[in-house]
Amino acid sequence: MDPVIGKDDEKKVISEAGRLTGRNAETLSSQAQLQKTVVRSDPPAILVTPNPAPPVQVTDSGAAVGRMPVPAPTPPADPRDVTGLIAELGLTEDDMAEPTALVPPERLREVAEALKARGFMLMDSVGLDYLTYTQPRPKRFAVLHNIYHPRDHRRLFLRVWLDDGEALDSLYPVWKSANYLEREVYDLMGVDFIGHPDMRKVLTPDDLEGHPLRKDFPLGETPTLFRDGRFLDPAAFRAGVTGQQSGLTGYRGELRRGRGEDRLPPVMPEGGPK
Amino acid sequence: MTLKDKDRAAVKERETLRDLRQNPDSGTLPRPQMTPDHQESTSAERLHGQTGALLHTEIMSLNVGPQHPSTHGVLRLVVDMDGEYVIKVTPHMGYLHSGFEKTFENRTYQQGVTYAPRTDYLHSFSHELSYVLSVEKLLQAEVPERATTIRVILHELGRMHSHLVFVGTGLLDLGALTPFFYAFREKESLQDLFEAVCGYRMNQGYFRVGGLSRDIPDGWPAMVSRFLIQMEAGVKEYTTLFANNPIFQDRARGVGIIPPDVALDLGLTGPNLRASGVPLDNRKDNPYCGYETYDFNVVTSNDGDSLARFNMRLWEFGESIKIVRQALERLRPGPVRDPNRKISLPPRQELETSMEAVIHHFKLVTEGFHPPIGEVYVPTESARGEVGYYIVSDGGSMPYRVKIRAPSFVNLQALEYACVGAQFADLITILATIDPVLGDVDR
Repeated sequence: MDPVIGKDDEKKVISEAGRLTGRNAETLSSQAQLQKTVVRSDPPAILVTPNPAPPVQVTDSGAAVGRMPVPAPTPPADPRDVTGLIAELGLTEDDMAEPTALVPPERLREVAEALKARGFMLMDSVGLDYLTYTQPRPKRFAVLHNIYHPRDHRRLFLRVWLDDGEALDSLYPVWKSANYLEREVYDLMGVDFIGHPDMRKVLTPDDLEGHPLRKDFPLGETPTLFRDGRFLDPAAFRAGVTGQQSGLTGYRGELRRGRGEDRLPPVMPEGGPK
Repeated sequence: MTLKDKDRAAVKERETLRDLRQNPDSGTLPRPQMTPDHQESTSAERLHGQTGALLHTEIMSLNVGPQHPSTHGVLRLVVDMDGEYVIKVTPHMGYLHSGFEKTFENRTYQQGVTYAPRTDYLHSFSHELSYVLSVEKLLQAEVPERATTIRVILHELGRMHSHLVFVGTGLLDLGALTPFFYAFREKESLQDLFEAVCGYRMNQGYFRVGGLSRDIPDGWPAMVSRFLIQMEAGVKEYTTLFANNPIFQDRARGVGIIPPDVALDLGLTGPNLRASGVPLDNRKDNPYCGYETYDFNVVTSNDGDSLARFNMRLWEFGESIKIVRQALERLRPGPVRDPNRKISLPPRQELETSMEAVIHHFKLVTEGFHPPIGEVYVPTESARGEVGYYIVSDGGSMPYRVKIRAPSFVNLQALEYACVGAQFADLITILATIDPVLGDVDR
């Protein structure tokens, strides 16, 4: 640390640093768990919640009463816990902060129908592009469906991994709310949905090429091609706006008032600004 | 072949390919495939309209917007009409699309606070709060009690602000000019409160990750309680003057009924869903900011029509007033930011004495903090429904991906359902009571 800082300050810094490293350590350990617990989502680990059959009491009753055996560490029954539901649907749980289930693409429609039958609604669809993500991911794209139960308030994310060009079953036949949501994912992320009745762009202009939320979509200085074959070159456009040249549009900001001397750049009046 | 012709040919080819991609055979639904530039019903649908009619009728396509005053922004609707009756509505969105989600990916977490309120510009605090809560969940930041209470107050005042605009402009769409002035009288007072607290009348950007940007000014709680008295009187006025007006009731009752199962199927949330009888409110069901400790009710109605949706907002005023009153009582002096120097800026006076504070300040301003790797989602309840920011962090100082769950965008789907069979004037009623904000739709 900097030697200028006094004793008290230093102490504070250390305690603060301790607090922070504690926090970081926690997240680090959770990351380590994340690495480990790819194995954790085996079926036996999840079977705990739906039917916690206590096999302990059966062995010998007298001793059990005497010892007051600690029952198997069953977690407190959280009505919003979806681990049981995920196991019931035969899915694996993804180790995320939010309850997420990994769904194979071919099973998505079937899983969604099962969830709809249980009263769930579709809240949101999220398209994700992991092209430049720091950690390795199974595939480049993921589509997450945010599923919610409006009565008992369980929330579940269905995650489907996809490669570029792979299409996904539409959830429109299951939930009508998938209509715009999937159109948005298609528009901004470029994931195609099979069985969607109206798969067209929703937010970007019809003649925009590409899908803007992909990580390889160029930012900024992109010449825009319009449908009539006209190009808009950003550099030329900017030159026009700043008034250095007439530019592409002819718009020259403040300068473009008339002809002749009006088009000359302004000069500072003698003696400075009034 | 000139260059221009070549470009034209290339564009034509791309369009053909795009049309081929949308091959009608790939659809599994009975509804026919639409062309990319769909505007009107197909000829088969047009013929179908003629069969039962006594007179020779023709289905006409009517273009509403994007600069129509009743569309609350820039929404374009293509309405197919069979005489007086609407048979199909096709909304065209995207006029306000400004790529917020892409912008978030190229700004630090703290800078993102500027963009969040600009999505839903009528209830800005909901988006701000939702974004900030998500980042705080990533960081595990500790928000002081006072900051949370002020957030609750502003969140509820923002809800009132949005509902006031709803009452004013919603009735304006139905031809009643007076309510607009009544509602905007209270709205102006509210905006004065926002201005007093952070300097902005709209698009505030007052919350910060870990707390607030600064403390509220002295005397602000008293201003708020004075406003609440004014607001209570205002709500009474709206109820007696407008909501009980027989002309308005005739136009709104039984118009655009959305049954609860359809509402859930369409993904409706917020007052629109509660008007259909489903008591879903994230303040009660997924409490954030300590909403579980406040005493308030979730208002529902079983009618599901436009009148119920209108009244829902009027009743919610009362609940918001209740919450703000309780929050004002809880307001105690204290810090309004997480004391963690890795998250929030050091106070100005510390910069003059402490080198460490200068370093922290420099690092936070130039680079920002680095949340751990993870993906979070915090649902909150805005005036329009569930707002949530799905934030993916890759450990950098900028979010890897931000997905906004925009309630207006999803709620707008109800328009296509509820308007079929209604008259054109009812379409305006239904659109007004669904209350989309186009900034929220297009983001």
